[in-house]
Amino acid sequence: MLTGLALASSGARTAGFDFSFSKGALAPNEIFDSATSPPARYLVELGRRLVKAAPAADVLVIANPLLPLKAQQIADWIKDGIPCPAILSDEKDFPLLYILPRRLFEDSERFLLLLSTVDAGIDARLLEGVLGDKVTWRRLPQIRIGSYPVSTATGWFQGSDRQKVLKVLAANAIKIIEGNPHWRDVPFAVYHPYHAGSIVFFAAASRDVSTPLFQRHIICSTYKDIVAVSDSRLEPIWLKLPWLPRDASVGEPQYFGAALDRLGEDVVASNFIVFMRYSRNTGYGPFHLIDHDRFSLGESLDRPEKIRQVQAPLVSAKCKLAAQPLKVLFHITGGLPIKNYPLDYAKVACRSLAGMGIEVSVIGRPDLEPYGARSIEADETDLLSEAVSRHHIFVGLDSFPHHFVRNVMGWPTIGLFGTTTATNFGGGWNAHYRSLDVSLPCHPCGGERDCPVFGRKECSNYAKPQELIAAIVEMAQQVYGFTA
Amino acid sequence: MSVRVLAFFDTRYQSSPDIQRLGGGTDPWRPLLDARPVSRQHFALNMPSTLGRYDLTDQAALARVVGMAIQAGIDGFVVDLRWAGDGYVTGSQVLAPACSDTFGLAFRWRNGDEPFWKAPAAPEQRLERARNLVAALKVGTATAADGRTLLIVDSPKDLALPADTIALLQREARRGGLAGLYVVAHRAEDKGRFLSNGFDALIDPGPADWHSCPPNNRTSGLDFLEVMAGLKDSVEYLDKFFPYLLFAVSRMINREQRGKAFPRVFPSFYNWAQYPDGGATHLVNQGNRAIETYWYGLFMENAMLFAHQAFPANERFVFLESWNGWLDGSQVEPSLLDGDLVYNATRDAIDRGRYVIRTREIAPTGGLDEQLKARIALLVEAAQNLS
Repeated sequence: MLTGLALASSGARTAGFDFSFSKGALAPNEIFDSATSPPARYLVELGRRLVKAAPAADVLVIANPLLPLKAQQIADWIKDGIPCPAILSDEKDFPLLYILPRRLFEDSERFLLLLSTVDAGIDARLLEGVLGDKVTWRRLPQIRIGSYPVSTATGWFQGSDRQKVLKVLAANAIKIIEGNPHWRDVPFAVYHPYHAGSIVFFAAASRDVSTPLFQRHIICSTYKDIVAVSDSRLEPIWLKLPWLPRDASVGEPQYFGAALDRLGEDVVASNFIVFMRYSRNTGYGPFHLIDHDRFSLGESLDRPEKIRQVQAPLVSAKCKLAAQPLKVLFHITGGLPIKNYPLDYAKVACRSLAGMGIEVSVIGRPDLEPYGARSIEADETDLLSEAVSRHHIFVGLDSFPHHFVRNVMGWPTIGLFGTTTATNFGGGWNAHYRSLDVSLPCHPCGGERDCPVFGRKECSNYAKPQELIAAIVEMAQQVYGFTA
Repeated sequence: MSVRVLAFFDTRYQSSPDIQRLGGGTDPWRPLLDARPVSRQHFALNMPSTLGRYDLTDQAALARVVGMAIQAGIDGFVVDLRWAGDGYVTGSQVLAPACSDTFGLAFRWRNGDEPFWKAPAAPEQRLERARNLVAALKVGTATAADGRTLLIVDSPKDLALPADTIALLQREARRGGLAGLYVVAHRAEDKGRFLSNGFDALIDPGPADWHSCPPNNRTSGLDFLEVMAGLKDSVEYLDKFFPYLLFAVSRMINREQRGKAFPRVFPSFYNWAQYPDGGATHLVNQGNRAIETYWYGLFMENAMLFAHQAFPANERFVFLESWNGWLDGSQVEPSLLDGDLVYNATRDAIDRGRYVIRTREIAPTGGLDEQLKARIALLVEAAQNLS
């Protein structure tokens, strides 16, 4: 479903290469599946793979990553010959193929990130600017892509409004290239301004990219406290807008329009902005969001051992207090009832831990005090950091405090997962991290209202108190030498 | 070791003389070709596409079948073991050349069809029958479970002397040169104390044998009268229709209370062809679809993660029903109606499951000692009572 041809003009030899979005094996014919990568990032990756696989090729034909195409099919489309550089589109203007000189991938691949991949006219002009050559645009009359769906069988999460965003950014890039003689020095900026957990993931990813394509990151200014402690390698561009509300009252493309207005002409004219909010469904692949972001930022992740999830954590720290009495901090309120750790489980966990002489603090849950817990407030990043530092182990849901504590503080953490997956959002297993769930077949449903299976307000996929307590004690033994 | 996925495999699709002894006709595909739905609520049976209507005695066809299974991430087939009057037969001789260290065979003993074991018998007769059974297991490469040949007992309650029978089979297996048997009872939970009778584990029964949630169609006396009056389709009264997702989730919930039971995963299921007079089981997605690969994929992936968490390293299995169960719609093989949709969903789900397991294996947990586990269990029970 990701495909290309390598052409060698010398012998007119053609080699076809078909790849698929990896489900985890990362076999040689698979490409990492990153939800935060726009279609053009896959175009760059295909170029890298083709250059490597066909060293003698001087022309690369790359199928639009948004389309489910095979090498045999695209070879048929160009069998009568097509000049290079060129774009072959459907009967209107949806790009089917990019016919590009190899040198583009060798010295200017990052500019390919600016392609819209949804408008052949815009992309032809952009390529002309980058290459300094005329780009031929041909149409294939028998194909009409029509209205691109919001969600596709190959995992794309698009729709026409989202694709307008890609066009606007490509058009802006043309403006920069045509108007700024020093356009090759213009920095690349990630557009992924929210939410808090994502900011943490991007910061972690930025520290873990060997060939970075980006220098800047557009971020809501409300996250300044997070950025201050997250050690990102990307320079922030502050967006003075509140983050996108989670109730879907504002659409992502509409927010994007407001964001460009608020950033102002100077910022827009002095940065190549690349859309890195979600272009694909996050749960389509099994990979962690930090690895999604690493791929987006330029890392190829073409072998299993390159995945962050199977490596030692980037940061690792632990509590300096004596192991006895063991102190555990819980954050088990997810903002929506279905995301909360079930109340009955929480009561039993608190009471049982207290019975073992383990001190339990819970963020923002005075209702659990009768069960042996102490409720504390930690609604700011510095308060959270301070509270965590006074506890040996943090137990959290799939939300910002968990991601922050694990990826910024490197604290011993147990992640509780209900409607979402540890593999996408957890912390990477090691002595300092465990994720817990009961692996029900509905997991992840991604539900934000009632349980889609049982209709209840609580999620049945959360680990039961007994497993949670066992995990806490086991981690305490491993990390702190705790004895129960 | 990662979780192994074993698929139930019907060996009757072959033209060898064994086919008659296995209960097949001269053309093993004939029942599939002849099956006709008798209701609009019966999903049409599917037909093979990529692999065609193969004959397993054809080595090239066999290689394609096994090759595709391996490509999907399947680690072996489970074949039926039946008494054929003068000996046990599996039809798996044809599979032997395709077996290897990474693709093996396990066996499902269809003991329910065999009256012999339902009643006490003379020791020498039992011994001879047991030797016969063990001899039939020595085909190809066995899937090793804890180092032993894996044998599923299909009807454990039909064994008159279960503990004696299992002990006898174990003895004969070792005497016959096997490392022993890993005996699995076909039961949803350990209520019959199977594990203390010598069984090593349990396996979830198939969809027809374990209706894990209430059916969508709960019929009343009025329904019965309407059917009798010709006002309603009789299958609404006679067959049972279940929502796939609830059916699957109900099997996986609270598993810790059921003992050591291996999950059985199925992409779809509708066995009306085996119940021409009614009584069939149908799994339905969104009211009217036989297969929803999204939920099936999650069923497989999560079953693998469960097996990884719940079982010792050499005993981590998920059973897939089925590779070629064309007559109950559970087949994974590419088909005319679904193309390679189910096959790809299987491969993707296994890939995903193995990926997640790999990320968790980098730091295996030491585990808690049993005393501490028991103490935690007691504390939790006390806290539950107080709450």
